[in-house]
Amino acid sequence: MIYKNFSNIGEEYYEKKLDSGLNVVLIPREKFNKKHAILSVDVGSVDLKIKDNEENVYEYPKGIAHFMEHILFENREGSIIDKFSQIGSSVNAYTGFNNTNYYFNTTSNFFNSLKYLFGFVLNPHFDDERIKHEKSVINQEINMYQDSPSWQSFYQLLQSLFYEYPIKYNIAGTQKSIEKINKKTLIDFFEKLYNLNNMTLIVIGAVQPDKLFNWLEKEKNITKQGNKKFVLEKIYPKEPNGIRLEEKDIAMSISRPIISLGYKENRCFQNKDKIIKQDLMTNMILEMIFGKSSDHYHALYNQDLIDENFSFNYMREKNTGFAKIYAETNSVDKTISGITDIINNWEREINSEDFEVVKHKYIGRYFRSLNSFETLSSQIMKYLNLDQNYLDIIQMIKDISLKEVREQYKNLLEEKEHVKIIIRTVHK
Amino acid sequence: MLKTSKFGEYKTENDIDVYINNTDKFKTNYIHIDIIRPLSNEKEVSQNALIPYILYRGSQKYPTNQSISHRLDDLYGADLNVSVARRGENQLLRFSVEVINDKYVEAKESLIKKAIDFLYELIFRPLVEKGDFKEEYINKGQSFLKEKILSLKNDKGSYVIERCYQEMCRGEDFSLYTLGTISGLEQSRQDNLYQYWQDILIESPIELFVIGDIGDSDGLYKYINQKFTDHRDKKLPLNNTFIKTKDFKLKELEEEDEITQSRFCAGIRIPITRSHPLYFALIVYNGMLGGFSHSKLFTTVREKRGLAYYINTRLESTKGLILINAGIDMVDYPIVKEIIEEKIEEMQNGEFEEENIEWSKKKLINRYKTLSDNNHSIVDAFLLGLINGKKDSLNYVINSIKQVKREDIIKVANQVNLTTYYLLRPGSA
Repeated sequence: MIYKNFSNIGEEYYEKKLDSGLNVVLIPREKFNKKHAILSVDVGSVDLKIKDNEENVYEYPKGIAHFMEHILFENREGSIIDKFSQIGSSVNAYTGFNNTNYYFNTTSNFFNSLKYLFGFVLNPHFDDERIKHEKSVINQEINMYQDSPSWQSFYQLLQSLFYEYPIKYNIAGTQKSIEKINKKTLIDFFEKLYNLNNMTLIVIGAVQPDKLFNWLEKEKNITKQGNKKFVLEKIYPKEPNGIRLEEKDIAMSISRPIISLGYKENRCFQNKDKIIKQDLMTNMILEMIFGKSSDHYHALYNQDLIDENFSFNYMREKNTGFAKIYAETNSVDKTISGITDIINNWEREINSEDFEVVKHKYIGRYFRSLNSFETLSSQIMKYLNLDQNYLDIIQMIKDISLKEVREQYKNLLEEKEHVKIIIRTVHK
Repeated sequence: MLKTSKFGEYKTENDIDVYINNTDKFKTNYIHIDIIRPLSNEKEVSQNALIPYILYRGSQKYPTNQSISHRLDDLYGADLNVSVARRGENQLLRFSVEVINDKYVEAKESLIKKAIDFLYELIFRPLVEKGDFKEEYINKGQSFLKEKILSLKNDKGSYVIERCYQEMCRGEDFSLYTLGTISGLEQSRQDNLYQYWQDILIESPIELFVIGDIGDSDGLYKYINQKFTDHRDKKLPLNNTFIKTKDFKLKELEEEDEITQSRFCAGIRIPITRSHPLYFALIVYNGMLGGFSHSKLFTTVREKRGLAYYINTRLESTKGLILINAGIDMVDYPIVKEIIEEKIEEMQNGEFEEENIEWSKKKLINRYKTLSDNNHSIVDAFLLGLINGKKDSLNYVINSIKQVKREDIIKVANQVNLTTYYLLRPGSA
C-alpha cells in the first residue's frame, strides 16, 4: 500500500494493487456527505485492434467500447439503474478516447453501491433483443450530437488532423458501424478487455481506508477474477506526420460562423513523465499567447474579431497531441489570419514575468478543480495512466523552466501547418 | 451523520443582505452577489441583462478588460463570473469571484477581502464618461449580448426549452427571455444607462453570499458593512412571480429547422410552488414522472421502447412549471405524446408502485445531502429559498420528503395541467 500526505494542498492519498490485479485509489474526504467511486476500464474508443500473446489479432467495429458501456446497464437481474435507485444512489457511465468509466455517487449505502458496481460491470448478460434495442437508443444519441455545433467543430477538426489514428472517429461509432456489433463481438471484446488487470477503482469521500481495503479483499466478484490474465497489446495504425486536410467548410443552422484551428503535435514524447509535462507546458504557452490577460487577446478583441466565446486548449493523448483554437465570428477570414499571424510571430516574446503569472493562474485553477469529485477522479485517472499523481502537480508546475517552454513552442508550431474548420450559417 | 453548515445572516446598514457560511470543506472561498429585479418588460429586461456585460469591461480602478484580467491574475488566477438568470418572474444579475483559500498560498494580504473589494469596484464604481458608461463599452456590451441572444438557437436542447416556456406563458412576464430580446436591446439606448444602474443599485434587493474558510464571520461582515456604504433605499420585493391557477387550454406548435434529430418539449402548469404545503409532494411527483432514471417516462420511453436517448422532466419551482423534453425521431412523435398522456393519467389515478415513491424519495434525499458539498449549489439553493420566503434547513427538507404520502402525490397529480406541446423538427429553417 502506498500512502502519501500532501499537506500543501490538504489531501491524503492511498493506493494499492490487489492480488486480483485491480488497482485501487482512495482519497478520503471526511467533511463531505457525498461518496464517489469510479471504476475505470483501460479501453476506449481508440482501441479497435488488439493482439494476444499468441500473436492473434482481433479487430472490432467502431463504437464498440461505447456500446459495451450501454449494454452493461442491463443484466439478468434487470435494470442496473433500478438497483442503485433502490438504495438512493445514482449510477452513470461515459466512454472516452482511452477508457470507459462506470461511477456512482451516494451519501449512504456506499458498500452496497460498490458491490452493485462490480456486480454489473463484471457480470454481463448479452441478449439479442437488448442489443437491438440499444442500437436504436445509440442512434438517437448519435443524432443528438450531429446537431451540436461545438461537437461538430471538434469532430471535424479531428477528422482533418488525422489520417489513421482512431481518435478521429466518433466515440459512439456510426449508425453503420454499430450495425456490425452482435452478441459474439461483445462477448469476445468483454473477455479480452474487461479484466481486473485492466481496471482501476478510485474512491473519494468519507470512507475509511482499512474498511475499504478489507472489504475489497473479501468481495467475491473481484477475487474470483484474479487468475485470468491476458497479455494484450493494443495496436494502433501508424499515423503519418502532417495534417490530412487543410480546410473543411460546412454549414449548420447556427446564428453566426464558428471557426476552429488545429495544430498537430509531430514530436510526441513516449516517456510517460514527459507526456504530462508536455501537456502542461503547451497549455501554459497557449495561455501566455491567447489568455485573457495577453496583449494578443485584447488586440483581437478590440478589433471585434473574437469575443468571450474564444477558447483554446492543447490535448495530449496517448501517441498524439494537438492544439485547438475556437472562435465565433462574423469575420471568418480576418479572424483566422489574425490568429495565425500571432502564432507565426510569437516565439520571440516569451518573457519570464508572463511565465510566472501563468504559473499562478494554473495553481488557482488547480485548487478549484479539487472541489469537484468528478473532475478530481477523472484527473487522477488520467495522471495514473501516465504513472503520475495529480495531487503532485504543483511541484511539477513549479519545476517547469522557461527554456523548456520555448523549446516546446518550437516543436508544436514550427511547421505552421494547421487545419481550418469553418462552420457557416445556412442561408435562408 | 449529516454534515451540514449554515449561513450566518447579516444585514448591512444600507440594507444589503449578507450571508456567511464558514466552512473549511472547500479549497476555495466563494463570493457571490445577486441583484434581483422583476422580470417586467422587454426593454427593461434587456437593459438589465446588458449592464453586467458593460461593467466587466472596466471600472474606475480597473479601466480596461485587460487590467481586470491582470487583477484576477494577481489574485492567484481568481475566477470572475458575470451572468444573468431567471427564477420565477425575477431576473437575477449575478456577479461572483472564487479565490484560493488563503492557507494554501503565501499571500501577504487576505485574498478573500481583496476579492470582495474587487467585486465592489466592479459593481459600484463603474467607469463613467460624460455622465454615462463609457460609450465604447456600451457598444461592445450590446453587440456581445445581441450575439448571445441570437446564439440560443445553436443549442437545440436549450432553444426548445425556451420556446416551450415562451409559448406556455404567452402574455405573462415569464415568457421574456432571461437575456432580453433584440428589439428590447435596440430600445435600451434611449435612457442614460448609468443613471438607470444607479436606480437599480438603490432600489433592488441585493443578496451577498460568502462561503469558505473565513475564520471570523462577524469580522468579515464588519468589513463588508464598511465597504458597501453607498446610499440605498430598497423598494422592490424579492419575489415578483404571478402563478396562474385557471383557464388552461392545450396548445400545439411545430417549427422546422435544419437538424437531424427532432426535439420536443411538453409544458405542464401546476399551481404549487416552494411555499405551498404540497411542495415536497411535488418534487417527489416530478422525480417519479420523469426526474429520475427509474421514473415512468425514462423507463418507458428509453428503457422499454428505445425511442429516445434522453427524456427528462424539469421543475421550475418558483413559477410552478414542469417541462418534459426529449430528442426523438419525428415518426415517433405521436407515440411519445401518447405515452406522456398515459403516464400523467396513471399518476392521477394512483397507478404507481410503492417502489417508485421510495426510490424517488431516497434519490431526492441523496441529492439534497450532496448539494451541501458544492459551494455554488449551496448558494443557488439558498437563494431559491429566499425568493420563495422559505429558508428551510437541510434537516427539515429531508424530513419533509420522508413524510410525503401516496395521497399527497395523487393530490399533486390531479392539479397538473398539460398545456403545451412544442416540436422542433427537421426541415428548412
